Amino acid sequence: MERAVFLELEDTGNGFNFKSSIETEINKAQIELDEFDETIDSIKTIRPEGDKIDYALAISSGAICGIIDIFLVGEPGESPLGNITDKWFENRTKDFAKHFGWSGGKEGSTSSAIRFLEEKFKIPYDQRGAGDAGQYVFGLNPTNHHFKSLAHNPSILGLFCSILDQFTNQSHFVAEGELISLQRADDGFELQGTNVLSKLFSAFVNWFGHIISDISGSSGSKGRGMGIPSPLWTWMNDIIAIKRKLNIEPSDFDKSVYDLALKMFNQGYDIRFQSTQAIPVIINELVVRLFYSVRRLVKYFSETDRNHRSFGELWKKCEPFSNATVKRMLTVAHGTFCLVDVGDATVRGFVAGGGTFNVLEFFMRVNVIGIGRFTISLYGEVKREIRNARNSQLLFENVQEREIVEYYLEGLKLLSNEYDDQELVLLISDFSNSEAYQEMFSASVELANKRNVPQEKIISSKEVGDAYFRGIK
Amino acid sequence: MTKKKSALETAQAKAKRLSEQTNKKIEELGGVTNELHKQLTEIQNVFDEIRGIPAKDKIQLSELKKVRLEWKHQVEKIEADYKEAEVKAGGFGAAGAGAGIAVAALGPTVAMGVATTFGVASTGTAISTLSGAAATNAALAWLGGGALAAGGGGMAGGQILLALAGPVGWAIAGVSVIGSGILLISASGKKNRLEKIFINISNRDSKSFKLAIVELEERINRIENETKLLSRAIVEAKSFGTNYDAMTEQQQYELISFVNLMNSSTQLLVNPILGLQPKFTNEDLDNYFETSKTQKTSEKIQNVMVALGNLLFKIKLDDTDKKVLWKAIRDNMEFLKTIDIKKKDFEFEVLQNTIAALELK
Repeated sequence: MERAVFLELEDTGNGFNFKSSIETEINKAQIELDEFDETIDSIKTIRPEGDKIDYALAISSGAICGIIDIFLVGEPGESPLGNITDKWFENRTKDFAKHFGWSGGKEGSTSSAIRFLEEKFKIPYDQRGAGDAGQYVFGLNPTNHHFKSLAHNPSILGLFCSILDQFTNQSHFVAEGELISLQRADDGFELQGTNVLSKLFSAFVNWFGHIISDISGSSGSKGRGMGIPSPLWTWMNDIIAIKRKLNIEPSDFDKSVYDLALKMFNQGYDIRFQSTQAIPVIINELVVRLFYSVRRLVKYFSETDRNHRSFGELWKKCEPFSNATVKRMLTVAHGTFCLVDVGDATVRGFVAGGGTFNVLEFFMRVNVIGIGRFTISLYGEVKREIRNARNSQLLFENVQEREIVEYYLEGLKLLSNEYDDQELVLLISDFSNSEAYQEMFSASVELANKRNVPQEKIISSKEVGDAYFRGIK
Repeated sequence: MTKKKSALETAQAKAKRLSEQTNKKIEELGGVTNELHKQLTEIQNVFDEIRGIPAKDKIQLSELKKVRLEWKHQVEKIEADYKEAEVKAGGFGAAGAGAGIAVAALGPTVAMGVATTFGVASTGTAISTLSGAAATNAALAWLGGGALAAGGGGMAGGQILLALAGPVGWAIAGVSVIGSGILLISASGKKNRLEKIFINISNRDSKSFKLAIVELEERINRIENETKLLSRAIVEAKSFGTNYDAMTEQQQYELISFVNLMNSSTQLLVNPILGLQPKFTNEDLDNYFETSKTQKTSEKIQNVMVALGNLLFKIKLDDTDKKVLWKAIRDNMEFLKTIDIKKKDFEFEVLQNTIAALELK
């Protein structure tokens, strides 16, 4: 920005120009300085302010949840927490069935509720590979058909396939790197609805209802049964299906991930187990946030006088959501959790492999939810660090520029003081006024001082002046 | 084809424009000083007559006159030095890349303005931190820079003046020389940093020039006012006659006040202009060596430190800035040649100590 320097001159009537440009410049510089101060205040670097106890608590929470994950989540089939979630899902299935008119009541068996729902939400793509059209699909059997049947996958593509299948009476499967579609899959099937929109709606409802009916296993299954695969492990089905549609050969990697996920599903790694995995992660999250809040709460009450307490301030100090400290604590807690979890999974992978590494065992054990949560935390940390680095650079640049303006302002203030002599000159110029000669004399002494006239040359009294003019040294 | 100006070029252009304005003001100042000088001499004569001092002894007797005389001498010396410099510059220019650069002729008015601007070293006073030679050098570098700026001589011309002007000189005009070196550095991260440093330096110089312009305005204003005031005072004093004891008390008081006024107005000729004072001097450096108990460096390095001190005055640097700047200077062979030191002698310590000395100031 360019600014010209305007120097105002004003005639005061004595033939003197007194209007000072210094004051104008001081005002301008002061405004500039204030602007810098404002900018500097507005640039914030957000740093976590947790103390040792905060992080110790976060680490403990992460470790305890890691132990919960090892011993109580474990892997499908031998999971104490898993049994609870299985039960929970069964009850939800029954609730859902009841809502649609199932009369089984509390004592009614789960399989009867499931059978009810299967009838209620009929779909054309439920081939299990045993004694039906599905037997022609490679390796399809009742244990893996929820995984291989795309419409049974709880994903966007799964929903799309489900609706497509219901409209066209098809059935889509992904098996051994191929996308297979059965035509005229179920002759007994008819999609409800009078127009496209209502058909779309009922197709959607059918998809959802059927997934609920299958979530706790099928009506005919014994024991735990095969539920719905976890969406975190079916994405490779989507990729293979899309690649096939685009005539791209799926890579070996795609196929091996598919195989791994399929094996995991076969061992009971379904949406129920995935939910079980979320439990220690959620506990970890809640405990850390709670620790954070409780510690701040105690601090607030011990440090704030009763009369000064307010809910607004309390909330601001204690809320465990939007501050860098609690976020850093969560990163630490989830990091610890992942460390324990991955460590355990690795050891078990080697133990199960008997010397070689058993990838399946490893992935059965690893808590994907925990790793996902930790990744989100890490992403946040990186984002904040980048922003902080940028802001501290910006801050430094502003401080640099401010320094220069301050130097200018200080210089102007010096000048303002040094050139503040117009009153004195006016008094001296008033020598024709016979009354004021004493004042004129003192003004002349003051002016000489202001102008840094060497002390010995300033005539500061009448006597010295007399001596000067009488020639007495 | 016109290229869009970079932030550094804009900042430099602004500093250059303000330096030209400052030069104009200095010339304007020179224009009014002569009249003030005449009035001061005349009122001194009136006083001397009252004091009964014979005309031939006048010069020896008045201490104050000495100050004015020194001012006058300073003006003459600047004129002489500049002429000599002009000759040298001509030779240098012909031999080097900057042939044909016009160095502006220095008139007596400008010399007077320069003498006033940079202050006159006067006996027994601390009105100026510059010694006589340093003041001349500074003034020359200053004027040279201004004249070159006006003629659009650019870099090569700047260097000629550097060679002439010595440490204080290139403290003032040296920015463009080091600044030019940075354009050769290819790594853009470093270049950005250096550019920011030099933008800050240019901005600081702009502020110094503004400060100088503001003060020069005030000074010109004062000189004009007081020249008028003195001429009225001369008429008044003459009307009192020459017998001090025969005067009324009021007249005696007035006369004494006029002496103080004369002394005060003389200071308008010799008090230096703040914005153009060197920001960091050999005294500051000595002071640093003493208080920090740091080993005193060789004289050459001391000169470099003084120059760096002036360059970096009020410029805040972080650790990366310091490293980058140090390397840029060290690798600028042309600049090292100008200041006559070897690459290996320019250690990081030199920069570090200079910055420490600046912080001490």
